[in-house]
Amino acid sequence: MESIVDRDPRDSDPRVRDSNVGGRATVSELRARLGPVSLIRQQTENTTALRALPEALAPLASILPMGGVQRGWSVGVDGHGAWTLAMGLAGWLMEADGWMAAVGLEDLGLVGAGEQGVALDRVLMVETPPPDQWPTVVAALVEAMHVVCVRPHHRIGRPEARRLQARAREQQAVLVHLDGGRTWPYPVDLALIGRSQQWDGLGEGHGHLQGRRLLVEVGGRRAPGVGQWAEVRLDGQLNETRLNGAGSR
Amino acid sequence: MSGLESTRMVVVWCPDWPIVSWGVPPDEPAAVLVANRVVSTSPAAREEGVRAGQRRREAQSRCPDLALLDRDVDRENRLFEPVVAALDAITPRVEVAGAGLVGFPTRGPARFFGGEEAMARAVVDAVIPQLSRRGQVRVAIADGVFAARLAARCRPGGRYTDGVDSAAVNDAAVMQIVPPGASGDFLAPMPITTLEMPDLTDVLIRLGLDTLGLFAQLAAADVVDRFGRDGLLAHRLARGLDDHPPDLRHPAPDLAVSWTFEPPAEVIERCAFVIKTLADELHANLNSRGLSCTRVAIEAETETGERQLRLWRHQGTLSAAAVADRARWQLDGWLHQTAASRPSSGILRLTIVPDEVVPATGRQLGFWGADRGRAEDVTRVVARLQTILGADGLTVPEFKGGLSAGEQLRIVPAAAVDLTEARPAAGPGWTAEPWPGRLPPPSPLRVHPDPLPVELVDERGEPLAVSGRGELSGRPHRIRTEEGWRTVSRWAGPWPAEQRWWDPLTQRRRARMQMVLDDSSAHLLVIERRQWWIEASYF
Repeated sequence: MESIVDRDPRDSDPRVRDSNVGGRATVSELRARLGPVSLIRQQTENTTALRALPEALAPLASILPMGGVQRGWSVGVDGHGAWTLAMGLAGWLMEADGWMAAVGLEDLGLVGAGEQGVALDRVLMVETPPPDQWPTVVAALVEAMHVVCVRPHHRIGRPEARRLQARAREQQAVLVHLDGGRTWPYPVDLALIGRSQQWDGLGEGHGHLQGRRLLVEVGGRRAPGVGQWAEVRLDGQLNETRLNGAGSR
Repeated sequence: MSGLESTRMVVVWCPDWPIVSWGVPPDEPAAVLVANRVVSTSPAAREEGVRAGQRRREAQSRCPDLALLDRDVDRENRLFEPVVAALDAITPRVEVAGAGLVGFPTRGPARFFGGEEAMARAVVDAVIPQLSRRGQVRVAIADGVFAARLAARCRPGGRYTDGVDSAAVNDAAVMQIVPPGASGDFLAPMPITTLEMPDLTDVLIRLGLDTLGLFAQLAAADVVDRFGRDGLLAHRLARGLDDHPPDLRHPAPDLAVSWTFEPPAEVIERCAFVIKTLADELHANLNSRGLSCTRVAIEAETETGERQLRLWRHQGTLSAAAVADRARWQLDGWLHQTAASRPSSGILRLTIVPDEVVPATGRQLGFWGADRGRAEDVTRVVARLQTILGADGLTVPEFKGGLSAGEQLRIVPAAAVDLTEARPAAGPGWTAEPWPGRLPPPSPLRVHPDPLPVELVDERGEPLAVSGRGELSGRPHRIRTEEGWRTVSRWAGPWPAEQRWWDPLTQRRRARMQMVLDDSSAHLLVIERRQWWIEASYF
């Protein structure tokens, strides 16, 4: 496989790359993008070479298959701190240029979402579509967005759910169910359920909320087994780099 | 030889139409501005040195008594309609390129009036009364729209000017006729920038080709080789040919869309919805065939059989929104004319026909989906979903500063924002000043659009109150929500928040508290007028 990727040994020779000017760089760049290998490379990049989870969620990484949330999954969050976890994951999945859509989430605290790493200039708020249009709207969003957060007010039919799931997998978008996937007819790929939490910073009449320790149960179709637990600390911010405008990676 | 390939066209241009439509006489200095930049000036202002493209301040410093006007495209088009209607008497095929600029083929009318010059005179005679001495009309005849348009901008026998030169402004009308077949020679000395394709002309100028004539001497095949489709188009224009090759496909009749009003529509507002739907339908038809249209014919018919047909031409291709705009302008202008020319009854039928279509050369999506998730895709999705959810159904957040979690952001319709541009207002640095009284992070993830009323009592069961000095009347003990009673395990606050204390009508006195209940859920409570509410929850 390696030999196919680097078809031209000069491309990987640092001296050649450093000394090249103008045209040379473009040619090798184009070749890297055009070659049949790029398909394989891109697929592997998308599915395995995910960035590490944000530090606060690192305890989850040891439980999750391949150490992270995979693109194309459906993720359900429920219980304590569910929305915070969801926004933390969304901010992480958006990366440097992705968009997030929130469907029917008029009560989502966007300032809080921004603190968890969601880039607010790449958020689209979509009002709840009528039930018969819901699948159409979500399907359209899945095509353009990295993350689509939903909380349907009605139960989704099995055929629609299957189609949406297939579309999301094909487009490598993550569908996040903020109601824990209760309205979803299939088990979600990954379920994060906040079982208990302990708040810091608040006393009896003094202080202010600062952070919490959250016990998360990991479930879902892709979970490695039943009854996997992890304790995460959710302090002010999950993905700090994003809020400061610095690029990820 | 080349003359045979292009249609003889007459172009009628009313210079400075944005100014003229505001009713400013030529001897009064005035300028029309868009986003603080001058886009159009009156002749008097030009004499003082005011030019298009200047900033407002610069223009004012050159001419202190300059009248500043805002651009109003709807008004420009509505007031231009009588001019087009006057030309209707000369030919039924008037093409409107925009407010102030129309054209039509000379062939039929020139024969009717006995020659091009006589026809040009007839055009002038028809238009002058409509301008009521405020503006000028320029009529030019040449091979092809492009040459005719440039001819309209020149002084007879003189040089090309960007605006209207003041020497010629005293004449109410200026005519210029380029003889058949001479358009190429006429265009040759013109600067290459008249093509109005900055990307292309920048390169050409650097190659030393600074006039249309020099560019026209290149072989067409070489131009295509190097500059592609746009280059070929420009080359055709420079040679004095039509911009589109003459073998345009004739659109199939089923591409036309129409709507019958029931009952007939008498006000423009009723038409607006239909127009939007029709324009979208038209575009869906064209898209499914891989076509886009460069000219549409919009025809309105009233109950009593009056008809109004207008041809709208665009140099590029007409988007659905552009078609809708033009239909609206046309009907608006018609319904607002003087009593004599206004339709005597409501509009019964509206038909939009794509008159000239060309193969669409839209954006080709990346093969590997590499550019997925980018702002262009989002913009496209927004446009598509608007048809389902309405313009207000899709919003994007922007910071505005404020105290409570719900007040710090406002949401704006996504359609009103260019999503492909950087939006600093959506970045957290937008509001530099800290808002006093704001709570430090983490902010609540769930902000209830309608706060939930709750009861909060102390250990004796008395309702808890906050005094004018911001002190609690007791220890918070239990809270009653919709789900029943819960015990408060920890709390902090109250933090008083007085807003707009200077304004008795809008002032608000509130106090906030954070509370953790016995089920370990955390909430942000607010008291206002002795009533407690859950404003937000730390989900």
